[in-house]
Amino acid sequence: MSSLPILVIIIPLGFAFLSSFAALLAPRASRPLALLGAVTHTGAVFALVARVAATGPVVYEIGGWPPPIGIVLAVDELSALFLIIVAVGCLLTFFFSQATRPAGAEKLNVLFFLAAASLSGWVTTGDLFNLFVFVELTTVVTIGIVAFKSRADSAASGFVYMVFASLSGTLFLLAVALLYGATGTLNMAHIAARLHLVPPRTLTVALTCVIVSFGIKIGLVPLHFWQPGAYAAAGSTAAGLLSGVVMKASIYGLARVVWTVLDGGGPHGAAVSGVLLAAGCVNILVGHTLALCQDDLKKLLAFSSVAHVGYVLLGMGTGSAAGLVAALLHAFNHFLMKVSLFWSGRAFIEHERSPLVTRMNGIVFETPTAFVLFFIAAISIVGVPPTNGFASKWLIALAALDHQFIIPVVVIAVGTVISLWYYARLFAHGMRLRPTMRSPAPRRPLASLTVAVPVTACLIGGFAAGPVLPFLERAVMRLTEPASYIAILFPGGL
Amino acid sequence: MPVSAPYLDLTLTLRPPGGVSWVLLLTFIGMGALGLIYALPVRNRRMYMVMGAHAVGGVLVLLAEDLITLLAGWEVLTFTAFFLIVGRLRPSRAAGKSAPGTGKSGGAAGGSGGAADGAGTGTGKSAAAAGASSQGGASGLGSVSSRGIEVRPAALGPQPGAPRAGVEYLAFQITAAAALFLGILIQYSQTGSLLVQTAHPAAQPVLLFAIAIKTGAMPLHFWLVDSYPKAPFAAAALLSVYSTKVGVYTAARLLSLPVTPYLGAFMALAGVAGALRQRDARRLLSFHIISQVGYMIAGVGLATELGIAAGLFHAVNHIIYKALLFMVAGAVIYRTGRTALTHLGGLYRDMPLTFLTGIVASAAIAGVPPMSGFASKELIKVAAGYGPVTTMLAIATMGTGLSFIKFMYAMFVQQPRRPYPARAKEAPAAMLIPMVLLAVFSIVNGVLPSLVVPQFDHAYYTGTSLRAGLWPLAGSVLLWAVFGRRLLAETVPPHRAGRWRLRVRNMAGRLRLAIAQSHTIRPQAYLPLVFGFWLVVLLLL
Repeated sequence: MSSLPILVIIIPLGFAFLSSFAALLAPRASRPLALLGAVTHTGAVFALVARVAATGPVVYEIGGWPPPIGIVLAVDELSALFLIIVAVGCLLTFFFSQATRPAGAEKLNVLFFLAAASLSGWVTTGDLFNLFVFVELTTVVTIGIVAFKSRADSAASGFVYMVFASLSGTLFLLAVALLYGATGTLNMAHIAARLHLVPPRTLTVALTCVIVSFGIKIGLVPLHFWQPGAYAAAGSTAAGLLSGVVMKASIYGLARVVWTVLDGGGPHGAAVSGVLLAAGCVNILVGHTLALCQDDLKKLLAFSSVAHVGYVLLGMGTGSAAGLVAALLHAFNHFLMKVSLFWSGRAFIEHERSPLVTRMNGIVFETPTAFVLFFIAAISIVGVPPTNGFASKWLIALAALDHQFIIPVVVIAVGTVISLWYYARLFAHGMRLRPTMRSPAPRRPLASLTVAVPVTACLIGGFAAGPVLPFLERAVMRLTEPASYIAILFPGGL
Repeated sequence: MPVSAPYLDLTLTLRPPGGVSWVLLLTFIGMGALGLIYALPVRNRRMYMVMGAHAVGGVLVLLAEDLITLLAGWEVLTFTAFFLIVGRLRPSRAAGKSAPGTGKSGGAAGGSGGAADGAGTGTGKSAAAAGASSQGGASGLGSVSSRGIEVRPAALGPQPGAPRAGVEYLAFQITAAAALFLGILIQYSQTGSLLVQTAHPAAQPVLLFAIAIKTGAMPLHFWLVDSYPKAPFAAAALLSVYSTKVGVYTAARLLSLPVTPYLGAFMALAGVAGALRQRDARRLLSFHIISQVGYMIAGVGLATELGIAAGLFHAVNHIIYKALLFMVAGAVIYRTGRTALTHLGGLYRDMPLTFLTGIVASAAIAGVPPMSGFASKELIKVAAGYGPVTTMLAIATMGTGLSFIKFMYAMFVQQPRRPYPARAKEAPAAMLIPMVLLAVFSIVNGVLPSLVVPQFDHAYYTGTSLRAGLWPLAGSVLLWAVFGRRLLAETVPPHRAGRWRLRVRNMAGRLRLAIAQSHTIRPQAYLPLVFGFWLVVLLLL
């Protein structure tokens, strides 16, 4: 039995503990400590992912108690994919925040480490109640991250976020209680195996709770109202983490619970697909339209996230394995693109001392590096070939077209048009000259280098995606065939 | 020597095309080089890079063996063109400082109407002022006229409204790209092939829509006629080469709808009709792009081997003479700062070489034998046979002749209605060399058409074809004699469509603001919202 699954949770947790002391006792040590922790965590995750890719899923029984009595961490291909997002996202966040933040904000490191720990637990656990605990833990940490900046509306946005998050948590807890009542177990694989014991009505209510609960977290229209405010109040670094990483964990949660645990809705499978498909279309249209109407860059990017969740849901809603593969790929790509956009956009906001797009005249000339990075990320997210955004959009549209879903495909095309339009406004403003040109922004080579990593991945992602597709197909198999997930935990059968 | 790369589970391949497309490829590459040489006097390294990338986009489309690469080429063209349109020739601090001083006069110039000469905002002018200083105050018109308006440098910068035109350009182009994306998707899901070949019938209508935008078919032409005249003069010649012709090439390879030739003939007529209203040199040229592209679409839309070859032959010729015309207009702007035809005149003495090359290009676009335009139009007529399409094209030719008599007369021959502050000088050598080369090619392609289309052994210069080519031109001369004065009247009746667009734009702006402001919600409303949505999902399941 490998202990790597528990290590990816314990390492950041331990470093969170250490860095809280470091912030108090030895502020100068906190920076190297943070980087060391992030690198160690990423190393552990990559070792784990390599093992999963080579020899299949890895299970860790906590305390040596076998399932279904003991709690397990089960890392299959799906978990591995999202672990990469979590680890790489947190590593990049550390580098970026070290590169851009003035000294004296070491306490944020504690929150970042706690987020890394809880998110790692979120995507690896094999226990439904454990999942709830990790989701709540993440919520608490992200409230801290949102409200960390002492801006005028930080506290208010943090409060709104808390209200929404607790509604989300309550609904999820309700679903867990219902399923526990019906099946008498909390182990995900065990519930999946005993799903026939759940009455259809109970299943309907549980499904609804799960979809709405994670829907709040990912910004399902009309539950998306908290997002723009929260992202605008949080710093750009934190907004990138929230939109790029935390939201992806919610997508993982939705996929894992709805498909692996609840068998895609069982008898309600068609209805679940229909709801997700419709929600995807609505999200794409509403998200892009709101972004087009928005002048605040961070809110604009937040609405763009709402729209891109729509693409993921649309892929899931096709109900086919190809659609799920496309959705997972898009989730990963969106992580790369949105992190790049928020972080390169930070340079504009810092330079202008304003997040308003309409005031960003001349940024092309005054912050050229950031603009190039932003531009590449923007054309990726719009879906210009051969970037990675085009690759996943192509797969989603193809999956939808295979089922003769004409309207979603048209929605994808329309969304592309609108999304380019709002980035074009920024480009056009950036090319204007202002009456008095400002002096060029201070160079931050480390920050640019950090952003260049996901941007490069955006550029070559489509070309590199070919070999990854079989891995994603195996991940989707764990979703569409719950038996394959059950077999991981109970190799000998129940 | 194909080059390929894996992409997802597909393969992207670049392979040089054969036949007329090969000549088109050479033309694309050559035009990229000539466009760069022409832009040398403005000395803007950033712009050269974007111009080079623009040419690469066009080349990419011709090399594409699969549809995704083709789409990528379209997009490269789109984005580079955007930066060329909104681009400044030279941003600098010095320019910024001088802006407040010149801003007022810029406003005065702009106030004399959209087509006023030297219309420039303070910033546009100042950017250009830096361009002028980089040349060490090189010869030409003095920088300040008797009325205190900086004439020459103003035209070096973009016109006011260039950013808006750029966004409009992007919006239209991405719509075309999205339609092409849909077409490719349908093609792939129906046939399982991504090869650039005649598309599946289900994909044809979507592709036709994409190509209609890309080629500027009315009423989807605003992106073209709004943006090209606003681009810096050095970039406009290059811009006129690729975007629309790429649409024609895509139509040639993918489309086979029987309605396409009629769309082409309609475009040819509508473009000319639009051009006749214009008083701005480059806007007039932009409308003629639409018209000429209509000829090409009429040819390639036949989907016969001869039709496609004829259409692409016309594309090659058109690239050459239209770029030359933009270069002529650009040289005039560079030396006088004016683009309004009603404000120009008399330049044949001061800029004789520019005048001569302009004559050649105008003769070529009007289809005067033995210019290149005559040969390719003749081949299109042969391919289309006798019918409504040919008749419509002949009428369009009559309008084209009329339009270019007006163009050349207004620029070079008529008495200038506004006196120039100083004598204009001939364009610099870096601009003249590409212009003369293009003029030579316009003649060579007409005299020796078999250089481009060797596979069709057609006798171009028979009595019948000469008569068919010449009678519309006789009509043009006649029309000029009757209506010439009215075509150059200073006041133009306001365009109804223009007012409509303004109204729509205002409404859209108000709507945008309303949506942006309304999208806040009180925390108290969250609970019922979440619960309501929960109930909706519950009912749906």
